[in-house]
Amino acid sequence: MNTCFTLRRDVAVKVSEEFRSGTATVDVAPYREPLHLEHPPAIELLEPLVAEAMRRFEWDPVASDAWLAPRLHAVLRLDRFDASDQGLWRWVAIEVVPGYVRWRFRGRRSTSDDAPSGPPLKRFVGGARDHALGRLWWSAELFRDGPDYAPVVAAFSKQDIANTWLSLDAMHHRAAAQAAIRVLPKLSSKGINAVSKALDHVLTTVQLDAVAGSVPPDLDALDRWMGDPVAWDELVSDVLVAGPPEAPTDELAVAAVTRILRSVADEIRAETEFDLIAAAA
Amino acid sequence: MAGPAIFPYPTLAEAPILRLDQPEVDGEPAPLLNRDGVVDLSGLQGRWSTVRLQVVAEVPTDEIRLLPADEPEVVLTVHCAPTNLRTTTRLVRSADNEHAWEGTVELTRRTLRDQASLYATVDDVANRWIGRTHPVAVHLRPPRDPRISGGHFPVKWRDFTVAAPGETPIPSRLKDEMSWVDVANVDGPIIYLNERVSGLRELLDDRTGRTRVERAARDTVLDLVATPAMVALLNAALSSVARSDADDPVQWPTETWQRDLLEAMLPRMYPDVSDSDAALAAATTPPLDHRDAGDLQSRVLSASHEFTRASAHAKTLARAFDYQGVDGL
Repeated sequence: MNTCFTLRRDVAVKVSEEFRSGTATVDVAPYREPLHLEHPPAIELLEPLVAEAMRRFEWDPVASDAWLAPRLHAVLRLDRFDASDQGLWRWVAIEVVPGYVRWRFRGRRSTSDDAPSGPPLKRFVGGARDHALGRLWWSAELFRDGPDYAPVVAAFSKQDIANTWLSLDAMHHRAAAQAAIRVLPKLSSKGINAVSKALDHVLTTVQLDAVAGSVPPDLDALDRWMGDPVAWDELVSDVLVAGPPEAPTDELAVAAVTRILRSVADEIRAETEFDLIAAAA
Repeated sequence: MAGPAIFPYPTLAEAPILRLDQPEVDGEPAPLLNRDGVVDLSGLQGRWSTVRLQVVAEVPTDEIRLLPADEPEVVLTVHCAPTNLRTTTRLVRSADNEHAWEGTVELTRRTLRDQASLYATVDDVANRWIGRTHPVAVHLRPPRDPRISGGHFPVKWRDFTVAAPGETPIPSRLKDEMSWVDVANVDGPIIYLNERVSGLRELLDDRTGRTRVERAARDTVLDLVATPAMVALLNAALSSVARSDADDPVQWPTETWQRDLLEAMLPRMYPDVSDSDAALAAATTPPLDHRDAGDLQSRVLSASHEFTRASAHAKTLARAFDYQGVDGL
């Protein structure tokens, strides 16, 4: 039975330090309500999927993001209305895969001998930018190019992209998200953050929506995809799974925004002393 | 940097106007536009797929002619923070009216949650924006805006030198002030107006037949009551859930009025934060220094101004005086 649930937001008071560090359990039944989704996702695959990620990236949890984000999106086949129910994400993190949250975000240590303090509260109950799994799902949704999840992998090649750029309004614009993926992975951490600030400034004058249009989701394509069964073998294959069969972003639109981003990066590079380009690029 | 977007450059002095018409729900006409500045879908309660609206953006063309723009473009944007949705529709210049750009917009239930906004932006050939309409709110759930008069916060007249049984005494130094908010009242906040201020009651009473200047002055004086009241109430609500450490759990207030107030005001304080929990976390994170504390108060004040529409009322007042040829404003 793949029923999904939502947890009321005041469940946050139950997410104690002990629960977060894994030394206590929590009864969330009083905060839980069933979700009646038109296309219930394959929630039963979520636990084995994150277990596979934890096995593959046992010693490098951060590196698991690029592998897990597209696959999580391909398992939790949701439209944006259902995905924006934060209670669903609270339920996933607190009841379904709390072990993953603790593994991925171990928390700080007071001294090198201390046990990690456990994940911050926001990794269990936070919004799209902070939630341990919500951030992966929304990154995949915003950075995928139609069915192609390769840009999502690129987005997680640098944690600064997901950490900083996911919260920018501009990333809700499809062409801007694709342009960002063409420019940002080649930059250093400082460069990514500097371009983020500079772009914010540029967009006070340049009208992004006039530079390039942004089309709504193709709900027919999404429905077909949501109705298809999820194949486990394809999911954990080394070949990237395919996402919703929507049309790719218009190339002219992406090119137009890419030009803006490149010029912003070039300007910063000319004005600053630090090296914007990553050493490996 | 990006093209010729050199700041500052001339922009429209007056915001273009966004008009919506002929609302349809799944192909059938529906009364969705009964409130100014709002598309109210909250009554549909999920029993719909697509809403279609005719859109007209009216641009002050005379002003555009003064700007270095050949043929301005007008783009309509639908933005929904909870679903991270941002879509665009390019509007087409009307064949009948050179001031107007027209188009159709569709809103789909499965891409929107809670609240969205529609706005049209005018840009010139360099894609610089030169003007933007005030946003039209799309309510997908009943709006929770608290009201200053009536509704959540009662407004009462009293003589500030007298306290009736059950009323909190007002400090004597405030005896000639126009208004005072009793935030700590056990039954919920009350906004008091001072009967001792000559002419105030006549100015603020709700009646018809006022001149344009009177109406504009009344709105502006009401803002002088409402804005500080909102600042006080908002600070009280935030204080009730203040955290001593950034990692402490974020908890919503148990008092209904505080919860409703924060639900309504946090999106105004943190317009770029799509998640109300995250916005509350930002507002209740202990400040590191005076700049953090100042930032919070700036957000409280600007959100309060936006809520009361103080700037719009002040502009209306200014226009009203100008219209009637009164000097000195």
